[in-house]
Amino acid sequence: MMDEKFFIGLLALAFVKATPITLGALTGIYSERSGIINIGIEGTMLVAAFTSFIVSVVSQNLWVGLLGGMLAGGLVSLLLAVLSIRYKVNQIIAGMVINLLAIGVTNYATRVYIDTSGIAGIGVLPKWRIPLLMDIPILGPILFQHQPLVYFMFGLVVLTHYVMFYTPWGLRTRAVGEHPRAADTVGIPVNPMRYASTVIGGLIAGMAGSFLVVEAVGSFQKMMTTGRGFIALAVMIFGRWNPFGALVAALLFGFAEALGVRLQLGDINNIQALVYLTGLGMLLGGTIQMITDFVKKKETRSKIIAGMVAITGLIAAILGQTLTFPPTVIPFQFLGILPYVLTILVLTGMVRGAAAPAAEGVVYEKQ
Amino acid sequence: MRKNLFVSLLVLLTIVLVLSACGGATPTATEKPATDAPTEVVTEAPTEPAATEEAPTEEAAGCAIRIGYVTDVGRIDDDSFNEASWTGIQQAAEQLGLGDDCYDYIETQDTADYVSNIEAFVKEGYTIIVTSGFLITEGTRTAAESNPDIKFVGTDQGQDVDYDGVDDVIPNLTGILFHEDQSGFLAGALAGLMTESNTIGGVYGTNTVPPVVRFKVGYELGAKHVNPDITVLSAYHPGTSDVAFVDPAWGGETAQTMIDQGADVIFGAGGDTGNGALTAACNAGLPVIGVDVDQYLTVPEVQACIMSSAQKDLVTAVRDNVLAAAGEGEWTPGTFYGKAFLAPFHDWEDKIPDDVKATLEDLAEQILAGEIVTCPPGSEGAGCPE
Repeated sequence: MMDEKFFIGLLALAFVKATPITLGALTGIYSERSGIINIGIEGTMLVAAFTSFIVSVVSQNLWVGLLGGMLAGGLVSLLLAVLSIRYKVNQIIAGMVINLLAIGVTNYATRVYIDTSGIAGIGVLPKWRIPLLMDIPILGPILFQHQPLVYFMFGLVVLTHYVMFYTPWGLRTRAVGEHPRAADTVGIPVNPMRYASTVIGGLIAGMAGSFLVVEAVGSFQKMMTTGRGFIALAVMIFGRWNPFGALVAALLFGFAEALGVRLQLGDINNIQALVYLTGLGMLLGGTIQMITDFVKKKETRSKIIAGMVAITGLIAAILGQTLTFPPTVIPFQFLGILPYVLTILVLTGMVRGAAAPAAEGVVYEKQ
Repeated sequence: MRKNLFVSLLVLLTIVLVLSACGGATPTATEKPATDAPTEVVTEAPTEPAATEEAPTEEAAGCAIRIGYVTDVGRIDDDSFNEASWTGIQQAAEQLGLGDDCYDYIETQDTADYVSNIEAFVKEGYTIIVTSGFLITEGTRTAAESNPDIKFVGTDQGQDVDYDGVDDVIPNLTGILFHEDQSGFLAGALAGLMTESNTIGGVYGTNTVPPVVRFKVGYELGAKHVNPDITVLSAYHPGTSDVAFVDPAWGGETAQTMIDQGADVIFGAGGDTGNGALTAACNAGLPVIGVDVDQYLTVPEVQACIMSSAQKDLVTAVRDNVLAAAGEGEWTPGTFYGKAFLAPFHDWEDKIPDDVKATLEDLAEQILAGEIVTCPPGSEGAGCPE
C-alpha cells in the first residue's frame, strides 16, 4: 500500500509538476525585482511552447526547440518591457495584452500550420539518470532520475538566488526596483537594467513553456499552459519574491496535485493516506519548528507547542499506517482543490513578511 | 508596499474570475464528447460574444430539399464534433444530388444563440435542420414542436428528456446518441488481453460529461470481463470542463503515474488531455488506445503505439438520418443510436494475436445481441438506462 514506491512516485511527480511553475515564478522574480510587473507569464509560456514545438519539428532536434522556445519567451518579454518602459503603458494591462495576444496568435497559427499539415512531434527529452546519485535509496529515484529541465530548474533557482543577493548586478536590479531615483543618482542606468532583467525573465519563461512541449507532452496543443503561468505568479508572491521561497511553494503545490492524482487511481484507501500524510506533515513541521526554537532560544511555550504538534503527528502517522479504515473514496473534485487549499493553509503563515519591490509598476522618468 | 501586494492579488483574482466566467458562460462543454471541442469554446467565447457569424444565404429556389446545420459552440472545422456532423450532411447532400446552395450552416458563437440560429433556418424555409450538441436539446425540441413540417436531427440529444426510460417522441425529430460504453468495453477488452503486467490505465476528461463517463464505465467492465484479476487505474481531470479537455501536460503526468504503478496499456479519453496521456505512454514505449475518432489519423505522434480507438461513427449516423429525413431510408423519430466500435488496428494489425481479434469480434457480437451489459444501472453520471 503506502510503501516506499508510493512516496517515491508522489515526490518525483511533485518535482516534475513544480518545474514549469518554479520557472514561471523565477520569470516574475527577475522582472518584478527590477520594478516591472509581469502578469504576462502565462502568455509568454504559451508562445514559447508553440515556438519550441515548431522549431523542434523543423530542426528535428529538441534542444534546438528548447532554444527557440527560450528566444521566443525573451522576445515576448521584450515586448512587455517596451510597452511598459518605452511607451509607459500600464503594466498590468500590458501583461494582459500579452496573455490575450498569445492565445490568439498560437490558436491561429496552430489552426493554419499544425492542424492542416498533420506534422508530428519528435518525442521528449530522455531522462538523465545521474550516475552514483541515482542509486541512493529513496532519494535517488526522487531527485536524480529526471528529464534535464528539472535539473536546470534547480540550477536556475540557486543561480538566481546568488545573482540577486550576492552580486553587484543583483543589488543594482533590486535597487532599481525599490528606489529607482536613488539608483539613478548613484549612476545605475534604471531603464536598461529593467529591460535586461525582464528579458532574462522572458528567457526563463520560455524554458517553462518549452518544458511542456519538449519534456511533458512532445507536441503542442492549443492553450496547453492551462493557467500554470498564473499559478507561477501566485507562487512568486507566496515565495516572497525569493527563488527558494518560490521553489518551496511550487513543490508544495506540485505535491498536493500529485497526491490528488495518486489517490484517485483507486488502489489506496484515501482516508488512510490523508491521515497518514497529515501525520507525517505535522511531525516534520513540528520537529523543524522545535529545532529552530531551540537554536533561536525561543520561549518554552513555543517549544512545547511545537513538540505537541510533532507528537500528535507521530501518533496520527502510526494510526494511519496500522488502523484499518473503511474503504472511502473522496470525490476527486475535492482532491483537485487540495493543492490550492494546502498551499493557502501552509503559506498563510509565511506570507507575513511579504513585500513587493516598492517601485514595482511605477514608470521611471528622469527629472 | 501593502498596496502593491493587494493590487497583485486583486489582479490575480480578476483573471481567475474572468477565466472561470469564460468557462461558465459556455456550458456547452458539459455534454460534449471527449474531443477537443471545449478548446474552441474557451477561445471563441471571450473574443466574439453572442454573434452569429454567417447568416444562411437567401434565394435557393431551385432546391427541393434544403438542409440547415446549427453547430455547437465553436467552429465548423474543429477536427471533431462539429466537423463530423457537417461531413455527414455533405455526404447526404451529395447522395441526394443537392447543389451547394441547398445546404448551409451557422456557426454558433454563444449558447444563447441556439434558438435564434434555428429560427433563422426556419424562416428561410429550410426543410431539414440539423443541430449539434446536448445543450441545444430543448431548443431543438421546441422548434420541432412548433414546426411540424420541418424534419429535425440532433446529435448528442437523447429524446428521453424526463429520464423515465421511454423516449418522448416528437414525430419530426430524431436525436442521435452513441453507446460509448460499448466501444469503451471493447477497448477495455483489448487492453485486458494485451497487458502483460495485468495493470492498465485510463485517463479521462471530466466526469460531468456523460459520454466520457460511459467510456470509463465500459473500459473498466471490458477489461474485467476478459481478465477478472486485472487492476484498472482511472483518473479524471479535476478541473472544470474548460480546462479538463485541454491539459495535455496533466494527462501525460497522470499516464506516467499510472505507468510507474505498473500500467502497460493506456486509454486516453479527454480531448487534448487524453491525447497528452497517449503521447506520454507512447514516449515510454507502451501501447495506447484512443477515443471518439480513429486517432491513428488525428494524433500523428502516436501512430506507432496506438492499437485502436474507441470510435463512434458520427458521420454515418448523421448522413443516414439526413437521408431518412429526405425520404431515402426509414425515418425513426425518437432516439437513434449510432454505431460505436473499435477503429482499425493499423500498424498493430500484425502485432495483435489472432485469438485476441477473434475474442473482440465475439464480444462485439455479444454486445450487439444484448448479451453483455456494458452500461449497468447505477453507474453514476453515465446516463445509463436504469
